[in-house]
Amino acid sequence: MAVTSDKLYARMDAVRPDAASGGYYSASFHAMGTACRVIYSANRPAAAEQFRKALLRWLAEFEAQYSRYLEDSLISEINRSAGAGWVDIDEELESMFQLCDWYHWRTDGIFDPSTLPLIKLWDYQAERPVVPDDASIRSAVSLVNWRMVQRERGKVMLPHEGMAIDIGGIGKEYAVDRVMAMAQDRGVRDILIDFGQDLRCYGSPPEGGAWRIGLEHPQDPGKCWTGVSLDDRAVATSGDYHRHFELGGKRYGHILDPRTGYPVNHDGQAVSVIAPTCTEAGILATTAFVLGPFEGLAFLESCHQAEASVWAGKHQTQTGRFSRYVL
Amino acid sequence: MTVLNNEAMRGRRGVLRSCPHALLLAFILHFAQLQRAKAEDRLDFKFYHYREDDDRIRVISPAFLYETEISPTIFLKLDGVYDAISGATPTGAPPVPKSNGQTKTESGHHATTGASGTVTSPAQHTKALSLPFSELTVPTIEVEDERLAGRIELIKKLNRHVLSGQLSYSNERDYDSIGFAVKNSTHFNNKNTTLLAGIAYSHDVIDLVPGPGTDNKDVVDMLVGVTQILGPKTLLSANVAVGYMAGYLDDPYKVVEINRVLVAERRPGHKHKEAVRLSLNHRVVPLDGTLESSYRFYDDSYGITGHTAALAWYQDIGDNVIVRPMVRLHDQSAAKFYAVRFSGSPTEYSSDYRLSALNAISYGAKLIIAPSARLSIDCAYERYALDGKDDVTHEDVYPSADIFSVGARLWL
Repeated sequence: MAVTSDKLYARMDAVRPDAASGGYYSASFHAMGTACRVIYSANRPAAAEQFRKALLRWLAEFEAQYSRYLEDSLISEINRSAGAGWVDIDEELESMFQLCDWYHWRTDGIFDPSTLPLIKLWDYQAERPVVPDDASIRSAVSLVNWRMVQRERGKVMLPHEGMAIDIGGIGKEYAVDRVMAMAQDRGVRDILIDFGQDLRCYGSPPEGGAWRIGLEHPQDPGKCWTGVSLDDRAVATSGDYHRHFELGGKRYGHILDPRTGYPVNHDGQAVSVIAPTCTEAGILATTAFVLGPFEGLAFLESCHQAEASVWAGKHQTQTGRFSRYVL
Repeated sequence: MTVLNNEAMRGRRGVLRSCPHALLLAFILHFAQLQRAKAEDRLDFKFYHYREDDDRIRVISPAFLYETEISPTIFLKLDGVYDAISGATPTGAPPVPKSNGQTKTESGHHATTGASGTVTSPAQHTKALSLPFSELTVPTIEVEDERLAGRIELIKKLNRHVLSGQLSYSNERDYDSIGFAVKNSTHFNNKNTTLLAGIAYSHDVIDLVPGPGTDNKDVVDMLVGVTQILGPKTLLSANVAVGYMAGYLDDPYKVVEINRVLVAERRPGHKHKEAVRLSLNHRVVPLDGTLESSYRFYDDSYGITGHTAALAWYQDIGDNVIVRPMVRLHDQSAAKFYAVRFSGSPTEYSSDYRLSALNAISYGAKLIIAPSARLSIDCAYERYALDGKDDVTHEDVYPSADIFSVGARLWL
């Protein structure tokens, strides 16, 4: 019984048919350490219930298998085997690793799933975070490089003890895309998927038109500075205005630059990216945030089908066609 | 049905998950009354409305009971209840500062995108720990569910014995329960003494949404009791109940925060409990009234020890009207594995406020009118309030509720 329960971060609270909107359902739950919500249409309550169960089951299994926080997850097994040997992986992880390959190359190494030694070193979860010494940072950086991860079809090996991977930089967004695929396979015509404010939508909301997504104001969290109108698009935001700590008068954000081993340190506050998939939106947003406002915007301009907004200091800039989405 | 009402006060999930078995126990606890079963058919109808303040949980429960005489010594009872539950309930996640920590939706937006902030950051966490309750808000989720429960019971009078067997079934969206109970009461001493013994078993199947498959819970309850007529105006009864449950005992809708990550709660895989209940009823002839008093001691392997005292006064007004004011006080200690937040690697953990150290008070009144010999109708109001004792659990998690009921009993 409870053997499995501790693996399940996700919990369903309700499917709430909205009589006024007819045929739309909403499921809210906790998953992957954050608040999630899915709003979708269905022809009948039974179909809505089937989809709800299917997506929650998939999420629970996904998290059980790929969370680095769970001792018996596949990711934990890979990390425990660092420097020791190969570990068999399943097709889902193989698929995610292929995405990692692509985005590691596309971002010139800024997106790197092997950054976990650095993340652990900085330990933002600590009650009183501390700044690691330079030697420790250099040592951790030497263990970070996705290209060092050895891969063969269906198996993986971390060649050096101390190496560790974490798909946290892609997992939530990847889950959004997988749930979207599940929805489309089941003929769901209208859906908004919101996993911790990483979103993807398709079709229309109950009142028609396009889904309207607010963009949080980094200087006034909890309020939006504008909204965008989306259909068949995803949007994700990267920034450190929520998660940071200050020590000795210096501010340390939670987003690390794997090239230096230190937190990003510039006046960038938030990058929001609209892209065809949530995985792409999330990775591009984080990459641009790491690169900094100027270089990040230039990088985003080079990304096909992606549009973005960048906040730096008190100023907001955006890619050329971002405004076509603005409400 | 009285037990249903009490369970309802424990909170919405308490209603759903406890009722099938509570209904079995309700029968046992009221078993002595069965000996008064009349040789007439009877139909009861009740309608309960449980409503917590601040748009929290609401439960609407119509219920019926039909009792008929099959032969002079065999009786059949059927009853059913439907619960419609909706409203907000605490998730178990720790309170967060009112200004952030929740997904905000600006007017007109279906959702909001922003930097990762819904995972508690160290700064937020420290802030949340240092803020007074008034600046924190308790995370809640909207829930909606329905439950349908039914029971069939056969009662056989056999000399000094009254034997009974019962089957029950309860269903909700992700929960099925089937149970049975058997009991026997025997009277002695020129019917001045009645001994009662009963056992109830239920098997529950929980659909582990979103987990893989289903899980089970098995519950066994046993009760022995004695009812003694102390005089023409006084009745004393004492019951001892023990219970054991094993299997999936978590509330699948509750989370806890461990090392700042939200995970599903995890309770021990088994629990045993003991309860002793004493009650004394005394008719006060000069006042045309009856005093009903009771005390219940409860203890379980979770570490919860509870004391419940209740007083009710049945005041006759003429021949056809009874007014019954009541008050009930409850006090309990916390479960060993209860905390608002956890750190390290705990093996059992829950932040369900119902497992915290708390006080509860209920008070209210009931009006019973019997316009004819074959009909009685009643209506009742009860105010129920929970209050935490540990100064750590946020006060807003504890609900206060109004409970309304109307009912009718028809002798056919």
